[in-house]
Amino acid sequence: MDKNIPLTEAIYYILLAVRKPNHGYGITQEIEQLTNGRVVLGAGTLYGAIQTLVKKGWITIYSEDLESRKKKEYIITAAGKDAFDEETNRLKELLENAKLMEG
Amino acid sequence: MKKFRIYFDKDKETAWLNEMASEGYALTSFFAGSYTFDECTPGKYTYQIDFSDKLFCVSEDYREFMHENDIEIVQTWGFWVFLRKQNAAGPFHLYTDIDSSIEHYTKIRNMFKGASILMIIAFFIECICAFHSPICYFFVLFVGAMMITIMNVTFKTNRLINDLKEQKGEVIKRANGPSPVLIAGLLLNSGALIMSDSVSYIKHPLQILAIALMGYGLVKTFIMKDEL
Repeated sequence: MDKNIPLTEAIYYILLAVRKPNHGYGITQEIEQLTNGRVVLGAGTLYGAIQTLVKKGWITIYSEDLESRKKKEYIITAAGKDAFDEETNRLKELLENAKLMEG
Repeated sequence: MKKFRIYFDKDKETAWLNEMASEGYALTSFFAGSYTFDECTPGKYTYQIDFSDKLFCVSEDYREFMHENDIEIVQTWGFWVFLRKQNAAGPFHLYTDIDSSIEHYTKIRNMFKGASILMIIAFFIECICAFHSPICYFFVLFVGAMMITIMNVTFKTNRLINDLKEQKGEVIKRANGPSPVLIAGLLLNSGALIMSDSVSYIKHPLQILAIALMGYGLVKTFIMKDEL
C-alpha cells in the first residue's frame, strides 16, 4: 500500500466525504464546504477519481436504485479506511515536525 | 446556424464554444467540423470538451454521472465528448487539479501520437503510389499537411503535460532532442525520395519544402534551442 501515499488532495477529501453514503454532487458540495470553497472538484476530476477508487476497492457502490430516480451513492470500504488512516498518520507526522520551525 | 471550423486544440475550441454561448448561440450538434448552433439566452450554458475512453460513445456510468451532476452530453465525436451545463445550475469545470489534468492530456497526447503514426504511414503510401494526376498531387499535399499538423499537436500537447508536471514539482528534461520541424522536414524529404521521377511536378516542390523545413529545423535545434 506504500506506493499509494501520499494521496492527492482530491482523493483524500473524497474518501472523507464517503465516510457515510454520499453521491457525486454531495461529495463535491461537502468538500467545498469543508474547505470554504478552496477545493471545488471539477466533474472530470471527480468522475475519474471515483472510477479509480472503485477499481482499487477503496470505495463501493452503496445504493443503486434503478426504479426510483435516486442518485448512485458510494461508501468507503475497509481498505479505503486503511489508506485514509495511513495518509492521516503521514500528515500528522508532518504537522508534528512542523513545530520545529516555531521553536 | 451552422459554422465550419477545424480545431486541433480542444482548449481553444472550448473557449470559442463558450464565446458563442455568451453571445446567444448554443452548440446542439457537431459533425466533422460542422458546428450547429441554436439560439439561446446569452450566457445560458457553459461548454466543456472531455476525452472519452471509447469511440463515439461513453460508458453508462459516465452518462449517469454527468446526468446526476446536471451536465448534458451534447455530442460524442471520435473520442471527444461535448458537454454543457446551465449556468443557473452552478459553475462547470472538468479537471481542477494537476494530477487529473495530466491524466486527461496524456490520453489526448497518446491518441494524437497514434494518429501521427497512421498519418506518417499514409503519407509514405501516397508517395509510393503517386502517379501523374492532379488528384495525386492533392493527396500528397493534403496527407503531408495533415501529418505535420497532427505531429505538431502531439508535440504541443506533450509540452503542456511537461508544464503541468513542472508545476507539480517534477524535474523535466527538455529540448534535448531535435526540433519537431526538423523531423517533419526529414519525413517529407524521405517521402519525396521514394517518389517516382515521373511525377517530378509533385516531387520537386515537396523536396524544396522539405529542405526549407529541415533548414529551419536545424536552426531551431541548434541555435534557438532555449525557446523550445
